[in-house]
This record gives sequence, structure tokens and C-alpha cells, in this order.
Amino acid sequence: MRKSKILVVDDEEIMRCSLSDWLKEDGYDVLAVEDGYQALEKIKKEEWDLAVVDLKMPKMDGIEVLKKVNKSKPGLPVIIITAYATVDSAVMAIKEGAADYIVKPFNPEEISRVVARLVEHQRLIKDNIRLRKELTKRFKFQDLVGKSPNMLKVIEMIKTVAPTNSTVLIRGESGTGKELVARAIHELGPRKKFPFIAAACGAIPESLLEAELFGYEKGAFTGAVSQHKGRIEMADNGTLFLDEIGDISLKTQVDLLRFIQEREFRRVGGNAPIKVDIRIIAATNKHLEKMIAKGEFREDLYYRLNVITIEIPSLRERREDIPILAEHFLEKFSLSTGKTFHGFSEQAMQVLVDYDWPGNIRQLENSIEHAVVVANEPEIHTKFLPQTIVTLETQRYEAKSYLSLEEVEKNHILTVLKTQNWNIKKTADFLGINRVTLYNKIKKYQFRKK
Amino acid sequence: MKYIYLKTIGLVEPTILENLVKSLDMLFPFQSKLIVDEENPLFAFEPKRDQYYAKKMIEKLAGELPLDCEKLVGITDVDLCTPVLTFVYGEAQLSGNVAVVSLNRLRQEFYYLPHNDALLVERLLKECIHELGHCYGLFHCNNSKCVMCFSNSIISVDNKEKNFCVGCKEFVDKTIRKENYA
Repeated sequence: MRKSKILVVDDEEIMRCSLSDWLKEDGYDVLAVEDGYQALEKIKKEEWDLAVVDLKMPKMDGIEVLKKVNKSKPGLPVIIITAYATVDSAVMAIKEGAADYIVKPFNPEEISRVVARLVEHQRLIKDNIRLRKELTKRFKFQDLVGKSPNMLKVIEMIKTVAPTNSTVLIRGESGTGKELVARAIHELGPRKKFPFIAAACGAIPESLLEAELFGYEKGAFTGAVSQHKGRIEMADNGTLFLDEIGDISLKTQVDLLRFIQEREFRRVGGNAPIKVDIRIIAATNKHLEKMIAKGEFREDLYYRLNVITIEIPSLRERREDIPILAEHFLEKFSLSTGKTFHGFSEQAMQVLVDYDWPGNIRQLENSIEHAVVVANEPEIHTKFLPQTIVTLETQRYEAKSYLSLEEVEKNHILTVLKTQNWNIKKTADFLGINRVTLYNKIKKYQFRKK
Repeated sequence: MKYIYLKTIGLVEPTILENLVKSLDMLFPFQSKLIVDEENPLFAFEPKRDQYYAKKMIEKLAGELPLDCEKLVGITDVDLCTPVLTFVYGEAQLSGNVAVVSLNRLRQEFYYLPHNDALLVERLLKECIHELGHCYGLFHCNNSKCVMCFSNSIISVDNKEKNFCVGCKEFVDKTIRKENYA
């Protein structure tokens, strides 16, 4: 682990050396300079975790150094130290943003505690920034790849709604990337510094959903051994993403509606109302209007959620995005597996474009991952793609290559034989012919099981 | 053959020093030798604080190193301080040869408690090992039981053990091997 770096600024050599020696013994990487100008130069050029600055210095006093540090490196904690403590200077230092004000000589217990606290705090801040950067990189439109008019419309819509506080309903088939769109709205909006909490309503059993969303008090039910914050409370100031909203019961719909209207709720088993400030994004692959007509979804909740709607097209509705998505996933999985690929063969790409992708992007992503794992050549060929896609699509592709009817029949029978593992009965059933006919075809085309 | 020298700086009870020498002999692969210098260290006195600067003592001791000296630890009964700290139990040259340790705040009497010879020797031994650890290049250790854990109060001195933790011990052994047998 990197040693924390501390900059000591004191015009008195004996103080500089003494403090540096002591901090070095504590395992810090210490540099001592004798005036504010040198300190500001060092702070400008290098990354520091803490600066310990003497108040009284001839060229530039500690408060001046502090002010300049606050402008150039606002996150850097500065401890002001002095042998001439006054209430005025202490108040001034704290007002100007000093992390602490300590009188020389220091009590060893006090200084070690203060330094350790500030260095640890700084480490946590840096960790936090790093993780945020990673997260932003991870979710920022990275997987929202596409140049089709349908997808560009979605991206434009995300950019428009993200800065607002409006509730958004995202609609689209399973696997189209509804959560990704929700995250993008969160990341591009003013709440990005706060949590994005997702609740997969359909995946949580009905009996647990209420407690999961609203939290519970200790003793609210058997097993509630301690107080538990719900997803709504966890999302305070941030975004709550309610996925599969069409799957929640009418009872939970009532609770949710009340919460959306009043923006406050009570934990299960609790009496105190809790107010939260959250943005709600809901998503569904269900036809909510039909559900309303059948009495399965509350109309009032529908209107509360359906303030702004984003319709995500299915993958077959934007086939022109398939090559770019396929290349994107190929790059992604090449990086994670450490394999290098030149790209897809023409035939493999045609198979991908022609396939209907009922599982949408998720299925495409899984298929590319499959191909990357099994491929032992620098190009992704059809043979590396999952069998389910290839079986049907190869025939289509080959049919497109102006083969004779006999050749199409030959290829088709062979493909089905292989997929049915040369089981004659199953193959005949699949082809809709009797076994005798199939045997005749096998004989005619001279098929042999290898 | 090299020795760890213990040199008194001013008056120190001989019985305590004898016990300290025996204990140190068991912990380091060097024998310890005692030098008695009963002269009051006025050169290090800081009248404004009514204390003695540890660094000045170290500087003086560094100029008096015997030829067969592995490390030299000054033992004094006066209250030690540094320019930035209100007091120290001891101070050392990091990766150097000299250290100094004070008995003053290790005594029970300092805390208005009855004198306890055994406890005093134990505390002095811990602080001597701690400062010798710095001389061998060790930083403060986060393990509260390790002798290299920083002590900012007498409670923390008593809380730690008079041994290095596994990591610190390994480091010291390696340094000794490098410095003496490389």
C-alpha cells in the first residue's frame, strides 16, 4: 500500500526536522519545506494527503497558505500549527477551512490521533472518487450502443429527461437494457452523487416486497431482529428504480401510490412517517394498459408513473445496430478474457443480423460471450456462435446464396440431423416426414454420422 | 564482536540497568554492555519547558560511539521532549545507530502511584526495544501488542508486549543479517 504523503511547512528548521522525524517514524512519507511559496509549488506539482502548516512564517503566513491551498487543491486537508495560539487565529484558521488547529508543542496522543484521522479520511475520499469514476465509466452510455434512428431517439430522450426530476416509465421487451437506461438517466442527472437503488419487484416474493421497499422496525414480524432500512429510504436524495413494476400485487400498488403522492412512508411495524426526496424510474415489459383493463394494475398508479415514457426498441426493430453492438461486446469480452480477435466472419455477422433475438441485447451479449469463450481462431466464425442461433440462421443465409432447392434440402436435413444428434425419429418428426423418407434422403445425399 | 551499548546519561539506579542488560541479551543476537556516565545532561536542557531535548542527547551520543558498537541507547532519568511534542518516552535515529530513552514518565511515581521496580524495568525494556527497532529501520506498527506500536500514554506502553510482532521481527532479523553478515 502507498504510504500517505504529508507536507510539513515551517520556517524553523528544528521544528521541521522534529515533526518530520516523528511522522516518518509513524510510517508516513514526509517532505518538509521552509516557506509557503515552496509549499504551494510542491502542492501544485505533487499529490499530497495532508499538509501541516505553521501559522507564523515570515514570507507568507499559514492562513495565506491555507487560502491558496483551498483554491488550488480544495480537497487537501491542512492542519495549522502554532506556538503562539490565540482565539482569533484559531477562529480565523477554522473559518478559512483548516482541518485542525494545534498548539506546539503537541501532546503526542492528540497529534497522532488528528493526523491518523485526517489521513484516513483523505484515503476514504480518494477511494470514493476512484470508485465513482469507475462507476461513471461503467454506466455512462457504454452499453447503450447504437446509431439506428430508434436508438438515437432513446438517447436524445435520456439526455432531455435526465436533468429533470420527473418520474420516468421505461418500456421495452426483456433484455432491451431498461436498467441501463435508468442508470444513464441517474448518472446524467443532478442526483448522480447520491445512490441509485434498484428493486427488481418481480424477483422479490410478494410477502417480502413491502419490507424490502419500505423497511421494517425491530420486532415488526418474526425474524425482524433489528431495524432495517428499505430500498426507498436507501435511495434518499438519489434514484429509486422499480423494475418489473407490472409484476407487483394490487396491495403493494396501493402502498406505492400512497408513497408517490405523499413522498413519505412508514417502515413496516413503525409509526413515525419518514420523508424522502427521491426520483422514481419504473420499468416494465408488460402491457400496463391491458392490465388496467383487466383490473390487474391501478390506473391512478399508472398515471403517476407514466409522466414521461421511454420506449426502448427491441433488437429486431433496430437490426442496423447489431453489427456495432456485436463488435462492442466482442471488444468487451476480449478484454475480460485476454483473447485477441480481428472481428466476425462475413457469414457469422450475417447470422447475427438475421436472427430475431427474442432475448434482445442480453441474448446477443450472452451469445458473443459464448463465441469468445469457445473461439480458438482470431476471427469469430459461425461455428463459434451458440447452436440455437446458427441452426436456423445458417439455413436462411445459405438459402440466400441462391442454392438449388435440392442443396437447400440437403443442408437443412443435415443440420437437423446434427442438432437432433442423429436421432432418426426426432429428426423425421422435426422435418415432418416419415422415417422411411428420411432414410431415403440420407442414402441419397450420402450422409454419414462422424 | 559487536555490542549493544547502554549508556547512562545522569544518575540511574544500577539494579534497573543490570536487569535491562540481561533482558536485552536474550532478545538480540548481540551482548549488551553498560557505560556509566553520571554527569547531568545540562547541554540538552530547555529551561522554558523544564525538560530535556532528546535530539541533543542523540547528537552527543552519536559523537561518542565505541568502535565495537552495534547500537547505542542512552538511558536517562530526566524528562525528555522534542520541539514539537510535549514529551517522549524515547527517541531514535531512524535506520541509525543511536537512541535515547527516559525513565521519568515510566515510573509509577510520575502518576502518584507507589514505586514498582519490576514494572519499571519492563516498561524501560519495551521502550529500549522500541527505539532499537527504529534504529533497525522499523516504523510504528499498527498491531497494538507489538512493541513497535506507538505509545502516547503509559497505558499504551503497558498494553503492548515486549516483543516484535512476526512482521517486525522478520524485518529486524533481515536488517541485522544485512548489516552484519552481508
